[in-house]
Amino acid sequence: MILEAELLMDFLQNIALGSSVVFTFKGLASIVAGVIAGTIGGAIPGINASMTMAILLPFTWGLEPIVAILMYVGIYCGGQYGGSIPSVLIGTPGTPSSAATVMDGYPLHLQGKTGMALGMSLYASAFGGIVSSIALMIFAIPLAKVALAFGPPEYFALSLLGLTLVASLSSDVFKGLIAAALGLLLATIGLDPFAGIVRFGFGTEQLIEGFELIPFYMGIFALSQVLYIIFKKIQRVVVEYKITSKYPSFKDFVRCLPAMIMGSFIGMFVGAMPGAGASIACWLGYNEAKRWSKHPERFGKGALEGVAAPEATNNGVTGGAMVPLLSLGIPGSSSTAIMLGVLIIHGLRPGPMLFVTNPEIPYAIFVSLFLSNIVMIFVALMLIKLLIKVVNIPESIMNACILAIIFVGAYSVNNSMFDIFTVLLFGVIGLILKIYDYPITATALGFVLGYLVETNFRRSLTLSKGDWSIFMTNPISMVIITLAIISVLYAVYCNYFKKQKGTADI
Amino acid sequence: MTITIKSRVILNILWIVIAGAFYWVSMPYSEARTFDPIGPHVFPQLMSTVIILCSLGNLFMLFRESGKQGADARAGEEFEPLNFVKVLLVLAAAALYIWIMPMAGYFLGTAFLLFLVIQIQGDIGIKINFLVSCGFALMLYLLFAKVLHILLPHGFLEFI
Repeated sequence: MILEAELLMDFLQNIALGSSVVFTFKGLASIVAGVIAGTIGGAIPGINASMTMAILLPFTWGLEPIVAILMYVGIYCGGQYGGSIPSVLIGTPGTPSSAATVMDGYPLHLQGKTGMALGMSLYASAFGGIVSSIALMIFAIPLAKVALAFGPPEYFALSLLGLTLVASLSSDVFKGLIAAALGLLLATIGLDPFAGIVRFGFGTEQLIEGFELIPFYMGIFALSQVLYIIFKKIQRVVVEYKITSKYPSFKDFVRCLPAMIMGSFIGMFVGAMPGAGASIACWLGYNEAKRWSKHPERFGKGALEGVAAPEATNNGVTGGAMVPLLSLGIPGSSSTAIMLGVLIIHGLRPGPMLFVTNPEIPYAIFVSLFLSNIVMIFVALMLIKLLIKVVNIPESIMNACILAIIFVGAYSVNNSMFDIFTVLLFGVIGLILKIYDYPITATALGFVLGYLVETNFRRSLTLSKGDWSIFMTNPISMVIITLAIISVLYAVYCNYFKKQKGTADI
Repeated sequence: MTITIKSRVILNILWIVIAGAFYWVSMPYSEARTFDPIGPHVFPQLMSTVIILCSLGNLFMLFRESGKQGADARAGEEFEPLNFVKVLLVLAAAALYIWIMPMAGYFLGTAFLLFLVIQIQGDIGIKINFLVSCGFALMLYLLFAKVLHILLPHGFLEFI
């Protein structure tokens, strides 16, 4: 009883510490700026939250670490919601996580109930985000405490599990593993952390430290996407919209509450799994809401629950995805991988030690995730007309402007043309991966986790004096590595043997 | 233009070549081993091996798929060849930008890049293109150089 009271006091003190960082002018301004940027980025088809984050990375260079991360939490929340705007207005999702919203959002728009669809997507997004922020606080803290006892074998096993899950959940497990291994291989370029030699530098001064993180992210997420948009000629329909239809009432909100609650929980759990992501979660949330609805026949024809469920799910992912990032230091999605990059750039490494050395940062993230979803409601209601104007900017101008921002952003890192070359290189690699359906998230995660994976791998073998069985004799790492192997084998079975059997049956 | 099984085979062979190159280049790194029982060569070699094995797996599945489908194996996802040319031109414009920016300066280089990239994609008139290119390049210059105090190359416009 006394211990529980002490833990509660400890928690409340840390929340107060986090709030003291968030509720400052800089903190609030960065959250509002992040939500606006994320919503705009998400609203433009072809651009998503991770691309918006990658483009804005150089702008965080001069910011304090906590201000930068608060902005990114805002971008994450805003980006997940922003994708629903073109889903409703033009039947094209702004982000993959808003694909399920098209099913009922666009029919509602065609029925003249645009305000209902846009309003419900906003309320459901905020609801899902708020629920997941509470879940983040509940799960991240105990998990971080458990992770404090982890050693190099456990960290290696966890990183491996994260990468294999991302690879296994992609469309083709071999492609996923190639993408992940490619990222890990690219991370070995530069100074070896143990021997002090430069690997794969080929005498190039700029490669002594390896490729810089910011140009890498900008290339693989942002430039590759711009090139892909040009390659696929993703057309955007011009939107003519005047807000004449009414927004959802309180009664509508209550009617959709079960769908939103279900969606939020689905989003949280799927978000916590590396590689699963909001693009899968939104369909799960939609299908479950339809399954449990009293009127499933209305789905696909303009059911408000059909908008509420996927939107609550995709914002529910935000809190879930941050659980492994904050408590273990292992990102589960491209957006959280970029957030990891932001923290690393500012000299911080997320994980259980962050709760000990800089507790104001994880607790500020908890508070800011909660607040971002509330800010999102006001931003969206005030800026809907501006958002529609942004969606209507011709894509050739938009692509060129984004390209210019990417290049100047990359240059600003070290005032070096080599960083622009890095962006170009990884932009081309990212484009090839996208065209041939390789998961670029796996490559990005491999690159950002490469240092962690290799150093923990070598530290483990140093501890065991070269005995590789340390990974299987240590119970936690044995369980985690076994899970990683099972996930890969199951993916191989599903991708190849099950498909073959299905073909034979036909 | 199609993404055919043949192009997928070529990509997998490319992965094998790249991974093989990393494996071969990392071999001398074993001499730099210090106190850790495995040297700086092991991890890159492990990752190269994973890539090679998975690429071989992919090749096996592709050959099996092409054998079963026969004529259908040559069919793949269709893409406009013109769009592929546009991507190549944009990349060429970007490479040109890397070359001329230090000489011409940030503002002129970026305005030129914007103009080229918008023109390559088409759909926008030259006058609007020119206005957007110059305006946006100026806006970015002011934002980065004056607000964020990032040093950008002036090129021959040193007097600015």
